[in-house]
Amino acid sequence: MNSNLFQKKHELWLKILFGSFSVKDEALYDTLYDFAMIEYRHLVWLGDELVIEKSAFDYDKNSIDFQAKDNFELFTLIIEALNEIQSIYHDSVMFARFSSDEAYFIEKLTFLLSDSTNNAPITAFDKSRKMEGYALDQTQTDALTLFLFEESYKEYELILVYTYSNFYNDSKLLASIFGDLIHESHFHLKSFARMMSKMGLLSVPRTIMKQVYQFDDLEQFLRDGIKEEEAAKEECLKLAAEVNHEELSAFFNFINFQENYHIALMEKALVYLRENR
Amino acid sequence: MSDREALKDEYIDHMMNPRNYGSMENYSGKGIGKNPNNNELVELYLLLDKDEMIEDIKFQAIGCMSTAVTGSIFTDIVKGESLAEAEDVADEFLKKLAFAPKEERACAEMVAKAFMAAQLNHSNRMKGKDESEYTLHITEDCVVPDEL
Repeated sequence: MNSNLFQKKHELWLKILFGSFSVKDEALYDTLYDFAMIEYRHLVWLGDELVIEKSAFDYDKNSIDFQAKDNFELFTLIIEALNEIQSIYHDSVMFARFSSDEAYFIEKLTFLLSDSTNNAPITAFDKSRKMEGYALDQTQTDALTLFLFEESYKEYELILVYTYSNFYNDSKLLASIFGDLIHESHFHLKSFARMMSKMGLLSVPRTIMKQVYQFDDLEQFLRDGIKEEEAAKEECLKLAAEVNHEELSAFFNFINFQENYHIALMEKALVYLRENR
Repeated sequence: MSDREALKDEYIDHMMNPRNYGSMENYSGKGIGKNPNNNELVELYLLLDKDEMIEDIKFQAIGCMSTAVTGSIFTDIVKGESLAEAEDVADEFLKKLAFAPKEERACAEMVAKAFMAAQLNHSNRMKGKDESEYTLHITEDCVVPDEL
């Protein structure tokens, strides 16, 4: 195996994930999102194998080609990427699983392509900065735009950092805590990216620099992480006030309250690390 | 579309599609602009041709969206220009931001300092020094004193 495969898998996960976010139809979005989450699990299994092999790998990526004019163009792009990755798999039970999953994805997407009612234009990148059903003024729109870009990057970063930490972590407690934080970030990323899609602002977050996840001091990372969560809480509260929209404000207050529990989980991890130095 | 809206549209385009983002293996100079008070930094890579024209330029950042957008705009402007012209752009960048909010000044300074550091690294390497990168610290800070 080599690290190039890890990069390809990372890119494939992002292509399907952000492709799913771009689709308006909820049922089609759900199908693609499920495929993307399976690809994320593949990525984790692949990382675990690379750690066992003592092979180096990272989260570097090329630009992700997922912007399509309509659903059918997107499905075709995804099928091409799924076919392409098959050629770099090896013979093993894990790769047989990857291939089997992806053969089904291709079959399902091909089936969807055969019914023209599944096609619709994609407007997730048109920069309209308007959300159907919401009358936001310029100040509200600007506040929401900046928040969504900052936080979608942050959630992507957290998924990758905690996933990377778990590759090298032997503690059941830490694995459980990081696993919970990864789940939470997947939910937050999905929520923010769907809003970005509705506003025509959808984009894949920039590449995470190696220093962010290849660190030596987990305690320091957690201490910094707690400060960042506290800052994120403040941003959510500020945004809820600035947006001043009943439904959106309720959503950001809900996210804000979730950050409290993230801090509690990270503090629990810190206590464990201090007691097990 | 008014100028303000046009500027916003361009800014949003850089947020969605940052230009020249990433690293470079074979570079002429690598510079880091770093905020000493937190983990924020900008890494900037320069590839110069024999006439010191900027053949390629890349940057990556640990920082806020404003830093990424500033790096994207700066590298987009100077790519293909001479080093001297790029220096002028960096100076202009800093002058224009003199009255901007504190956090925006810090972001721009990190990008400009990373560019200056890459030039110094290039110069040192040309003199035969075995130096993989050069680091300069910023003087502005996006953390206001009350928050320290």
